[in-house]
Amino acid sequence: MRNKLFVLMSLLVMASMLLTACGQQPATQAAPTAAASTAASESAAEPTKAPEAAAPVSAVEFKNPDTITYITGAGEPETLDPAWTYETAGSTTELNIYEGLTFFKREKTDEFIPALATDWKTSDDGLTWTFNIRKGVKFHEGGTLEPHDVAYTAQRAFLQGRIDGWQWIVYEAFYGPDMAMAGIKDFAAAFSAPAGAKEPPKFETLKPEQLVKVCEDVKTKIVADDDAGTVTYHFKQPVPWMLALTSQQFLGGILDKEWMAENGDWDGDCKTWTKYADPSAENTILFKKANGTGPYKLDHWTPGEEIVLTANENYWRTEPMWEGGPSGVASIKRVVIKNVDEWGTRLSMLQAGDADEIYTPPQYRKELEPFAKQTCGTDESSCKDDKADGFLTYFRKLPMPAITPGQFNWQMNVEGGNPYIGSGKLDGNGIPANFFSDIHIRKAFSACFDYDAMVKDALAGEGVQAQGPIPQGMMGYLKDQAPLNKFDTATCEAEFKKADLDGDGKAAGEDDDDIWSKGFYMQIAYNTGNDTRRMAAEILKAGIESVNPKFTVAVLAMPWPVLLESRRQGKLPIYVGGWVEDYHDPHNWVNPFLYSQGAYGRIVNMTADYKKKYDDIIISGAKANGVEARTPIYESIQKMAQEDAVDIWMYQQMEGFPFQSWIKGFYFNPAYGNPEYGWIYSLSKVAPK
Amino acid sequence: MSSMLSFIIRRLLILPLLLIAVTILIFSMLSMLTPYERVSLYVKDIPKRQGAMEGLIKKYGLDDPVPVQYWRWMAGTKNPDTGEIEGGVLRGNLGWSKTGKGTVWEVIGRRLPATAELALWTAIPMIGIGIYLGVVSAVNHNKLLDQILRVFSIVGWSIPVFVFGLIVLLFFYAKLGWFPPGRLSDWASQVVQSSQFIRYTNMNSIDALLNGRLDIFRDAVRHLVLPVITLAYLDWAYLLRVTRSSMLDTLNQDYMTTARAKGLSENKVIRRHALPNALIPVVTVGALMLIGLLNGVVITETIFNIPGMGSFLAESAISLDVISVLGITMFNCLILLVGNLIVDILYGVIDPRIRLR
Amino acid sequence: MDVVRRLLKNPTSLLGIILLLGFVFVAIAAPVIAPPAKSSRNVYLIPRDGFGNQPKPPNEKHIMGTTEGQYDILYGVVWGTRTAFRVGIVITLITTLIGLIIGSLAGFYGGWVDEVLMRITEVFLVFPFLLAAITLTSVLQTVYGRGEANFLVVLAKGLALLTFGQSPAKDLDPIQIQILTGMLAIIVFGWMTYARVIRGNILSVKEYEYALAARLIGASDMRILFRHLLPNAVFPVLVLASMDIGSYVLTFAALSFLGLGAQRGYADWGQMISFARSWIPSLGQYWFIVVYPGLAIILFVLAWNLVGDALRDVLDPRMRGRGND
Repeated sequence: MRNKLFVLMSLLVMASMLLTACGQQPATQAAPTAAASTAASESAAEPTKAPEAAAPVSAVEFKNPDTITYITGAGEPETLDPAWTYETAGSTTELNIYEGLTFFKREKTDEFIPALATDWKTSDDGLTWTFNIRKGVKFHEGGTLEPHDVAYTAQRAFLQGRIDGWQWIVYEAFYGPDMAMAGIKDFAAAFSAPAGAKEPPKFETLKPEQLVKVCEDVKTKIVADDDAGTVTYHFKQPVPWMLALTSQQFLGGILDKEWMAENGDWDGDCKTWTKYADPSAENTILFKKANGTGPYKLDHWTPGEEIVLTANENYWRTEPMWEGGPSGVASIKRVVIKNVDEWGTRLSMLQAGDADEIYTPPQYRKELEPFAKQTCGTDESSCKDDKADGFLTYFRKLPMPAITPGQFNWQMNVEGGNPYIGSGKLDGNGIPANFFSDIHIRKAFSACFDYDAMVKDALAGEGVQAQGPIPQGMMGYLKDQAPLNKFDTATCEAEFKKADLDGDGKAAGEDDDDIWSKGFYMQIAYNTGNDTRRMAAEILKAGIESVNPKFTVAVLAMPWPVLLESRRQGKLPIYVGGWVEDYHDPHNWVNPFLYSQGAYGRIVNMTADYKKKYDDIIISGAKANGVEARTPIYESIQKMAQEDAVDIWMYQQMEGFPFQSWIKGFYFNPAYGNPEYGWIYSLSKVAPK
Repeated sequence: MSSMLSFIIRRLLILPLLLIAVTILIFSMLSMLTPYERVSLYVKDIPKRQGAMEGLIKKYGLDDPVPVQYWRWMAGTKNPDTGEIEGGVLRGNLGWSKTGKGTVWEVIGRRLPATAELALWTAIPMIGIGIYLGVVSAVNHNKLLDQILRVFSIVGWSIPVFVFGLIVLLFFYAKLGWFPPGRLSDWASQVVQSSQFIRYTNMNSIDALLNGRLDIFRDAVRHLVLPVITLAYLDWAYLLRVTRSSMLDTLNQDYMTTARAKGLSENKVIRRHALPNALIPVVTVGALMLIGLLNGVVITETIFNIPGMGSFLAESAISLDVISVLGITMFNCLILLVGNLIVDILYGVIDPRIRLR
Repeated sequence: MDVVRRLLKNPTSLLGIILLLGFVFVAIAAPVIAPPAKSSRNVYLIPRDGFGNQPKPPNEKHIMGTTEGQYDILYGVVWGTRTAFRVGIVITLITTLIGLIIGSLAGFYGGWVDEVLMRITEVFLVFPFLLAAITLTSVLQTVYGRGEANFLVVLAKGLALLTFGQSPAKDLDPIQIQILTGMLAIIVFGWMTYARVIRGNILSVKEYEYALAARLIGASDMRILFRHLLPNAVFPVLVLASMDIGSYVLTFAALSFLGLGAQRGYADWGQMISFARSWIPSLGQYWFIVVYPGLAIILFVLAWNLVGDALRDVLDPRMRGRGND
């Protein structure tokens, strides 16, 4: 009997599933029960329902008129605290909730419009900036914006200074490059070091009065005057990229001081700041809460599920941001951001109309072509009609400032053995530690990389060959000049033959003991799971191995922990890895790649003469004031970096965003982090006719 | 009954020892990694400044000796500012899950209902169909129907989950628009999160019924159809085999021959005598499969975008999030032991002949 | 011989045997069916024709087409047969061996030996298999990625020797590391069922007359264990294990899905089918990347299962159904 019962039950289940499936418009037919309909406030909680659409025009059903749904695929934020966030998923979400003193002018990355400041001025030496703060702006939770809130925000972020955070950017601005430490504890220690001391004291040994002094000194750098309605910043050296900082979380993301203190965060007292210094992500009150002035409020964030934002009904902006720009309360009332890892699932959601935009890595962009109703460039004015039965407005080939080089390690660490360079000798089974100090080897590698195959195959056309550290469209990029290094196996072979690795003054081509006759073995690493970088490594391998059968390169998928560790130790001969900018300025490109203490320059570890050459010119570029003075400096850095073949300047990746065609108003501003949802305020959702 | 009681007590006494052994196993596995490798959990990108990794290692105490770290996890740490002891498994605190962005308990509380709901709905068709077909197969032993069913079940079982899952998703969702992924439509999730809706179990379909919201129920079930089909299709094959062989075993027993000799019809013999006996091992296997489902089903959850235990588990393990791995394992230990206990007790109730040990 | 005859008479088991023989043939004839390039460093690396992501349909050069990354499908399917056999058989051998040792010791000696061994087994059992396997694989890949010598490397070299008949000369070959880590993880967390089943079988067989009789005439422990108990207790486990050989391909497919499978481009069916993952939305166009490796997996699993099933049915009816403990 029992099994009959089971079968009966399972049949029932199946039947009920089929029944539910057949209701084609389930979303709209909320069948209110007696109990539910008596609840007076029911209607308030009930979301807007989709209109009973007549026969749909396009194949994709128009759903949720006031809601925009983003399906991301690159992970969710670490936290929503702007002072902590140093990754794009978080900072992009925050851009909709918090505002800075200024903001980017539409698609421009170097022109700014007032936001929470009404206007500003700089001193002649470029060291002092004064902002007039807008009056009458309300925070989401009801507080009023005052100048001290602005100063508090910057001071809090400065002193929170978690290790591995972005604060080194402001440390550098206020105290100079030598003080650009990894976190506030290192900063405080260096700040308190007695003059002439070789080693800074340990943070733990600092006395309370020393700690108070750190905070008080920071407060002299960022000064609010509530009566005058101004905030003033005092820098150590000119900061040409200042307005980018005030537009992003670095000096933006303005918080309400009183509300913060009420909710248990730092109250601005110099005696207590250490309690809030270097927190874990979850240990700041803004981890899952938010209170900004922006066009959207945080409704909730359920980690692993969704982030939901709702329109700020009291948004202060009444004038259009720019000509034809948005004003008033946001047009789209609700924003849902979900992370879905599986590409097939994301695509299905787009096809079903449940997603308004999905994350599309370059290798999948071709798959969406059949659905493109319109294909566009950087904004709607460039749209061209595509497939008549398509349903997407497909923005493609958007030049993202993100450069991926193959980074050489000029002087590899061989202490304790280095498995990545084989025998470590010039015997055909390895490479010597100073392999890449030889400019001919670097040039040979640069000529053996098939840039076109990279762009065409690996990036499916969504990219260009990189020219140097500075990306397209930025000051310092050499317009109208093709990249210096080209794929050419003949050049590659010639350069290998010119190398002299055994240092006997004879070129390898005529030397039986050198690289060309002996051959070599080495490994190229990429981080497991990154398909684009994997392909870059594979293309490099194929190029090198094609010029000489004695050359062997192994491509190695490296788990993240190993990669971090072997890089830190300086053991990897070549690492394929890219940089995404912090703020939009060439300094943020040449510094990480080429400066001897930069994030990547440290590991590239050039020889001393090159280090000095690049450090000097990079510092001079940062100190120069004004575009006219700076442009030639960066142009010459760009040229040098190619001539010296510091890295293999592989490619600059491009972005592509498939929007449902009922989403209007998108333009591409690369400074937003994830531009597709960086400024949702300018978007609207229009029902198809 | 007293033997049953002593059995239960014995199991409960062993539990803590087992838990300690399991956690030590995990810790020793992870102690193969250097602090620099373990800190990678906290570093999402190449560190921008020198000293960042060292600072993080110090911050999370990753360079302490492994026993010290183990003890810290067991007993908690003292907060230097407040002097309070924070965390500690012995105090019921499983710690903070970096992967799940919440305390381990919170994350389990958030994710288990999704998985439990899926398991619950999967169990009914899976067990029903599996057992029914198993019996059919056994009764028709070596006839054509038996062969077909077996081949069919093995074919089903050997299709990789993601292939099957993506195909049904593509067809029933992208093409036909019937069954969406996720747990609820956006409108429904707004209702569920509103204050009018009381969340008793966090299992949407059940809460919807308890709240008398048939529309929400329908929406929740709509979202469950595809993952349930995927899971059930993969697992009923196994149950079919178990039922089949158990049934064959029983049918060949002496008392069956006796029953037949008494002149009972074959149908009656099967229903009255064979089935109850044959189902005993099936109960165990079925229960264990159900418990297995509670652990989460990584691939099904990924494809149908269900934020359940499976994806949490996979993510924690891949990113080497020690605390989460430990937490999930502890939790798994508990449900497994309780589940086994229940199965064992059930066993004793069904079949008193079985010796408990 | 009677067993064989009965196997051959049953149509399903006959089908299973034919399929298995077919796979054995493909595995042996791999260098003829899909000859590797002369310059290839490792024959298990699938040759590729370009770097493009988009799969290409069957053509003269690539009879089964190329999959994501332009890997030749025919080559992968053919050499993948070898991988499937090697990996499956090695894992099965080692896990049953471990299970055999622990299970028979526990079952035979009983008492505290049994208690301790079964608790250890339980410790491994409460660790959810997937969590355990993923954690161990990630740890091992990290340890091996470091390239330093330690006991784990020795272990992996031994496993490589057993699986591939050769141990890499210098350091561990990065190409083999990943398939070895997966194997190790499956072995470490895969022996428990066998141990339990063997223990259960020994417990019941111990009661049989011949064991008692042997004990009465004063045979030694070891003798009883090896001559009387094991042969009668082990066979059902081997049947059970044979059916699992096919399923390891599926476990590797799952590991590949999570990014922990074999090194990319390694001839492994599980990985080949996971290449299809991103292209299923356009399955009509790219059917070949699913169908060929998918068919290989299904038939392989089917073959082992049919044979195992039939063995179970054919052998002593007493054995039937015991596999499920």
